[in-house]
Amino acid sequence: MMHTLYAAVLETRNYVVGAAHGASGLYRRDGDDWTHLGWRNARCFGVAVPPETPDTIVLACGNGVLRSTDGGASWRVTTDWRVTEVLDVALAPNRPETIYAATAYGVWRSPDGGDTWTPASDGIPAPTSTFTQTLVADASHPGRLLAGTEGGLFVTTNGASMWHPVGPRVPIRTLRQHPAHPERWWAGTEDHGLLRSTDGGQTWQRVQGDISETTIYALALAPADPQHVAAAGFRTGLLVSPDGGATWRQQPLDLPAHSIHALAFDPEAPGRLWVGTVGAGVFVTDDGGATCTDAGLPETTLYGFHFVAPVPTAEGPHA
Amino acid sequence: MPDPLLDRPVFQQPAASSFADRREAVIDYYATREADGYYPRLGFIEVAARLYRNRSLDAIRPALDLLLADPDGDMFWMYPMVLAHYVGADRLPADTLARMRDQWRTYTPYRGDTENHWLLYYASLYLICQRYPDDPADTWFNGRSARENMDEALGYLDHWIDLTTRRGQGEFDSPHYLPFYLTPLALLYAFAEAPGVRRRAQMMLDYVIADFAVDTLDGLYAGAFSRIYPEPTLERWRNGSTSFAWLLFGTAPFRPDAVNVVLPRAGYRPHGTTAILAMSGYAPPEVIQRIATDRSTPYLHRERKRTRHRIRYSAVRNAPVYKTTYMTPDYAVGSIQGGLLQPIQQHTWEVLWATDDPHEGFNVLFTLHPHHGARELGMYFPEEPKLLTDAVIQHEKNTYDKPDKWTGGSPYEQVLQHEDAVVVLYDIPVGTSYEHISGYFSRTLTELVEDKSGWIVARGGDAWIAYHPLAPYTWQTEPGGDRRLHSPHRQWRRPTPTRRATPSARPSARCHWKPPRSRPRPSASRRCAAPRWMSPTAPRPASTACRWTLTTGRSSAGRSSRPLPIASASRCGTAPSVVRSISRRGRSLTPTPHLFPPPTAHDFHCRRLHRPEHRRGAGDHVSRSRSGRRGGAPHALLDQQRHRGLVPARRTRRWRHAVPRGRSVAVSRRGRLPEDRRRRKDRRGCR
Repeated sequence: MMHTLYAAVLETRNYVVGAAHGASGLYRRDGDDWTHLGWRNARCFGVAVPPETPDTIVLACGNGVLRSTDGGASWRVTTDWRVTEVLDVALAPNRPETIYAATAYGVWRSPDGGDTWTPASDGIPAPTSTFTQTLVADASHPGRLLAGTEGGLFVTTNGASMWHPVGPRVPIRTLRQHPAHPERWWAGTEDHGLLRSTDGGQTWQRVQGDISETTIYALALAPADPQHVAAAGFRTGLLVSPDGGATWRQQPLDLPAHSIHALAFDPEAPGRLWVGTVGAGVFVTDDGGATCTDAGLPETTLYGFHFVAPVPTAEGPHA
Repeated sequence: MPDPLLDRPVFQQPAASSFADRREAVIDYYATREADGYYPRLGFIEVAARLYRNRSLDAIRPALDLLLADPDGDMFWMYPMVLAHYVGADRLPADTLARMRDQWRTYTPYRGDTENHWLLYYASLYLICQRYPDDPADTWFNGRSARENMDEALGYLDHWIDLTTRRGQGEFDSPHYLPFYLTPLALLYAFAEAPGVRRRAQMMLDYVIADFAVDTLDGLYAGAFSRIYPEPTLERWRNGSTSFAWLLFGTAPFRPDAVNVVLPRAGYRPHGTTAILAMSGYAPPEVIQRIATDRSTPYLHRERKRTRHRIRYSAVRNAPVYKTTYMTPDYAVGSIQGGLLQPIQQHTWEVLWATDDPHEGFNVLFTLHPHHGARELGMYFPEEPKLLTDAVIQHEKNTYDKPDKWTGGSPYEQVLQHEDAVVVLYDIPVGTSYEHISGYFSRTLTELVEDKSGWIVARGGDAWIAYHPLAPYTWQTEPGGDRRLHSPHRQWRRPTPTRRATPSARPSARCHWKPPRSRPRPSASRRCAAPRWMSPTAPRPASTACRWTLTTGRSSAGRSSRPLPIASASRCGTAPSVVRSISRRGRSLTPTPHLFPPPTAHDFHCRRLHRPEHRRGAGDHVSRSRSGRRGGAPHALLDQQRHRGLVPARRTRRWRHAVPRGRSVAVSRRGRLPEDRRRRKDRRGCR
């Protein structure tokens, strides 16, 4: 069985409230095509799927946190008016009914799959740092999460009951933990390039060099090669490092878009990189960006990719 | 396109009609209105008005079929659907109603990102769920049951009412968006079944309408605004608020064909929403009508509003906005304190004068710095700041990053208003995208004179306006004959202090001033950043705490050689005093003598002699408005026109502080000082 690729998509290139926006929202890659799932959500920023129950999909949306338990056939907005502009969602490893939401107004937590929500930003200075763009649950430490906020990175070890600052105080736009090497973390920033940590996110170093003042929206970590890192953002082209960030190659992309907002290494095709642009759809490259192939969803902005691994069962894996 | 229906007196001479007459007239108008070049198809409002008037269904169904074909518009789809549901509940066929109901399952509106969006969204959600209170979760677009939706909607509505009445509207005084506050409240007032909800809607209608009424002149929204589009800034009557002034107060003729030039999308009818208020049964209290129409006595109106929610770059979620409006029968002068208080569409200050016909338009004068930037947008919108400008300019707000735009706030701007005198300071760093100031001088201004003193004097309607730029400027001709005062702005470089004063010696400076040498030159990518003391994240200068006081500008800070902005001077002024207080009824109670005197002859001579390098040429503006009906020529102004310059002499402390080198000041002033007071000022000026 194959991995399933989801994409959070805004279909109109520059949507304004009140305008038609086509079939924006969640898409699933089926063969060579994309299938729209569920509602037309004008603002859909992130996707989370628990590995054990892939029929459950959690979306980070402008209207709140959405949840489907039937593979996207039906949906429910789990949050009320207090939770808005949800920019990312994270599920607690081994306890996927605990959902964390990163919003423009801070972090929220639900212990019961979205039925109830409480604010969980204690320790993050409000309102200067509460704008939380990205949230990652540490796969190796239950109850530990890292949040990328406007005021830098924050870490919690008690399930978001209390946060503590860690690393440089710079605006964070994206955050990733290597799936196979959980001690390796990467963060993309606004105007400060990349940050990396090799000790589980306890200390962070800024990547020096030509890319140290770039704005990074997307990061991809090759599953099979912890040294292979790709990054991209605001007019950066594609940044690729084959040696864990020691050196970087900046590859201009021949794309009808200046900026890139989503990146993902294909877990089934080593070296293949999915590139989600701002306003020009999806492209695929197998050679580090030297050549790109159109992969659909034209005239869209990609807010994120999410690969879901097939679940091994007694009968065999299914996705 | 002339419309015979609109030739009726109730439309053309509304003051002679009653509110009830106008209410019936506007419903009749939309009940008979046909599609035309302005609106190529009928909208829900025309459908609802026809249903309200019991027109034949044969005339309604084709329009409704078109409207139901492909829903879009988010909350702008929701509220007219609710209207049609309720007005047509007893008349529309069951299959049509069922089709309309089903769209609430299949179409997912976005909740939006502004205050009016949310109010429209939740008022509509509450009412449509009230109509089908037992419908389960799977029959609604958000997967929540009707009861859940009603509870959530009520939670937000109560929150909004509480926030608005405690701290002010965030999207305050918007000529364009006022209809989108009155509409959801009118729908709740008309259709909510819970008496408490209906009562709260009525109270908030009174609240918002009173807030509108007090700032209108002949039906035109005047003063400073949170949000307005460029074209209706100049032609104020084009805003949807003008139609509500007609309906509620009878103060402006009705022009429903006034398509809002910036939002031509079919179905988008800011003027047509008057019909929703008319059908709601709401009638404004008589006292509010008096507030809107009684201009027999000039008054000063001070308001506290708030910014919308700030999500980045700010130490406060909702910064306070201090708004001042001075209203006379002939003109209005209004301002907010300046800075980035609202994104994209802020209108910081203006003079608006009365005209014989409110629809003449182009009866305003104002200046702005055409600021734009990712920081401004990122403060209020959740998308990545660097991507926001491109997103904004793709649609109706396409002038946002243009150097010649006519709306928008600036972090480099500070404003102070005393009655009808406005001082506008600009401190634009080198490297800012546009370093100039634009002044709008309307084609309708007459008798415009550029005096050698630097004053520009002109007549707008029956008001005299005097405007004093201290920076060099040129005139540029605009389409239609308007003139643009284009003033390239020099960066104000603070002189190095001769000695570093102790904090106690310069109390007003301690929160924001740093010696130039200690401030590193900003990098190229950072040059647009606001100075720290103007940054929304920094503490505001303490002077804003006493924002309603004006002083002579004389301060203990004057002991140092460093000039201060006017706002700072007011902090440590020797005689702070409320210039004029105002009762809740809008009547002036205790006018006190002017404490911020106009420059005197002696002042100007001293400045010219001692500081010739600071002579006029930096972008300041002094204007005086005075009623031509009663006062004739502005005598006090003429007294001053023989003097040059506004930059102070070395020893004229208050004016050195009042008008720092390289800054821009705009002053409009009414009336002259009493002779004795003026002489006293003269003596003190060059001591």
